Amino acid sequence: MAVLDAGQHPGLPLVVTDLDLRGIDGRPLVSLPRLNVTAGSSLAIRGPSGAGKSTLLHAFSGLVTPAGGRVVWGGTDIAGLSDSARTRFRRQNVGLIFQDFLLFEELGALDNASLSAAFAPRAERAALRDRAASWLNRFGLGQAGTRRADSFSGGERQRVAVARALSNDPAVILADEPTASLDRATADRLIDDLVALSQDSGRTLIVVTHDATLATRLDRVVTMADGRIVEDSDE
Amino acid sequence: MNSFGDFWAGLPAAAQDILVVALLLLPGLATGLIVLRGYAPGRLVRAMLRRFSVSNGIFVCLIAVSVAIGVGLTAQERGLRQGSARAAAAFDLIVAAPGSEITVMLAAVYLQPSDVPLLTGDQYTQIATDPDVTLAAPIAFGDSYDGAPVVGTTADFVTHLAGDLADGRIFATSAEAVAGAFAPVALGESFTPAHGHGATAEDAAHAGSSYTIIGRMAATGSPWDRAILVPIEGVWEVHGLANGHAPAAGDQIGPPFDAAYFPGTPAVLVRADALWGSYALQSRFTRPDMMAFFPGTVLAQMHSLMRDVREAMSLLAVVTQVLVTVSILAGLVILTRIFARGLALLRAIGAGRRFVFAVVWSYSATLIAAGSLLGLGLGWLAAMGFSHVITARTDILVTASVTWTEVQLVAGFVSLTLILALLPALAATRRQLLTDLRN
Ligand SMILES: Nc1ncnc2c1ncn2[C@@H]1O[C@H](COP(=O)(O)OP(=O)(O)O)[C@@H](O)[C@H]1O
Ligand SMILES: [Mg+2]
Repeated sequence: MAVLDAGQHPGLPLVVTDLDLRGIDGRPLVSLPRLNVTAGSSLAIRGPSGAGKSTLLHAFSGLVTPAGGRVVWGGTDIAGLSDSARTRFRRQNVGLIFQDFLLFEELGALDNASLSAAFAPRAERAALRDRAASWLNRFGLGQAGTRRADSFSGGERQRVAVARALSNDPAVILADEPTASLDRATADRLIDDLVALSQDSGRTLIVVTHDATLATRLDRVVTMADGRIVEDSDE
Repeated sequence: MNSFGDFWAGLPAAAQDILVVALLLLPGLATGLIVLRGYAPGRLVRAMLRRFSVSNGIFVCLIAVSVAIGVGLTAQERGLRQGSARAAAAFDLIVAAPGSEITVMLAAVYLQPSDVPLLTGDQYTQIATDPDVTLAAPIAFGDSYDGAPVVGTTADFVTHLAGDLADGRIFATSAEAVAGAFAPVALGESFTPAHGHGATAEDAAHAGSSYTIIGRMAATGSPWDRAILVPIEGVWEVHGLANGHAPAAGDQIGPPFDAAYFPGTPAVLVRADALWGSYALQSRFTRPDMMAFFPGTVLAQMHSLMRDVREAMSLLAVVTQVLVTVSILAGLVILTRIFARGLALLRAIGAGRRFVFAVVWSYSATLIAAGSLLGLGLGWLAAMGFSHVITARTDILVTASVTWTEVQLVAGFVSLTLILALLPALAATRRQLLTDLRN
């Protein structure tokens, strides 16, 4: 399948400096002096609940605006972009995966997976739907295209969500506890798929998980506590 | 400007009506085109509609009912106006003793019993012999049978009122009667009239006298359809009065009447050959001892008196619609809150605020459009239902139907609410993205 061809995605390197993330009330949530992620590599972020993992991941995707510091993806500092420019950056470069899948229950698998076709420029819509369909195929959901999402098992739902994240052919995949709602075997398969995706096609992969075993399957593991990185497998 | 006026006036009425509807819809449609430009939110909106189908159904019904009230009221009011005018159409000019035109009109046209002073035989003869008069029918009220008024008049007037009979023949003796289209009597049936109307009617007052039904009128859409028409001579005889003719005339029925034997009539229904003749007659018979009036004119005056009531009614209908719309918009804001997580997801995967705006607006617009269409249909049904009730109660044939006026009313409502629907859409884009996503 053409979309799986390796080398098409040099991925994007991430360079974070002096990152300061705060809550709406101004309370400091995450403080990160420095973090480099190589293009096409995979990174696991571990840590106890409330450590700031999701907040950090949202800063990587531009959903959280930093109070200070820089989040540079391959030369673009998204912290300095306007809201709409960050939204466009996400649409063009980022695939997001969530713990509870966030599917539209009344839509079929294919409509969920190709959700962004609804707002993508007209010229990109057909390609988007084709890509979503071929990812569903690859995940064994090719026959389920019109079945409504609410008839799927947890593992199937997360596959639809991954297909959705890949439908825009992103250089970066950001997943927030993608396996937390899945059973062990399904979780293992999903992580395998994600790692393979990163390795085969050079996409940069960042996964937040509190599962130590899963974390070790990725190239690098950082551990957070109280809004700081307290351990880094590369150092 | 002037050439546009000419152009507009030159268009067929239907084209004008359609153009007005299009113009009224234009702001709403333009809003839609601008809001949706470049997006394809159809599947998503359908999913949202299916999501809370019961709440959505209730919204659609609320809109439909408020639209139906507006449509039904206007259609009904117009139907009633047209029906009452149609019922009076056959009555060109009425001449009566001086008094209230409305009372005489209610009595003569709508057969509402009332006591009015009578015209004498001399006065009647002056009217009947006027060269411009082609028909001068005296009438006599006061009796009833089985709830149907028994009305005395002349054969010519029956023919003038309803055209050829639907069945049987016209009365030829003072003991024969022609039934109105819906009068509760059968052809061939004989009956004794009761004196008076309704609950106070005295059944035995005219014992010994009877009429036989020998014909039936075609429907006229007026209260006369429920009446039983007899020769005026019959009514007079039943009451022990002179029968309008000298004893030497024998069994003569109908004009000319002999003034010396004429017991009096509350009204003379007059017809002239030409319109100008009618106007001439009206001014000629408007004198100290008589009044002459066109029921159509009196009716138009009443309708224009009612205009304030009508306008208050329309205003109430509009206020109802606006209130319902406002509560629906408030409801939509709440429903949108339930969709907040899905909308936040859209923003997270790269949809702009304008797309979220478009999705919420389309969702609201679908409910509004569906409710309004349904309301148009419901209003039409309601108007038809009310028409039946009013026709049954008053015998004035009311046929209320939905016309371009109602379609235009609904088109204006749709446009206005489609624009108001921008508000919940705006509210949806003002939400805290991350908070919604985390919930
Ligand atoms: N919706 C929210 N509003 C304000 N603070 C929040 C919200 N969600 C989480 N937080 C706070 O942000 C901090 C980090 O949370 P989070 O990034 O979700 O941690 P993790 O993903 O590691 O469990 C916590 O102190 C938490 O209380
Ligand atoms: Mg988290």
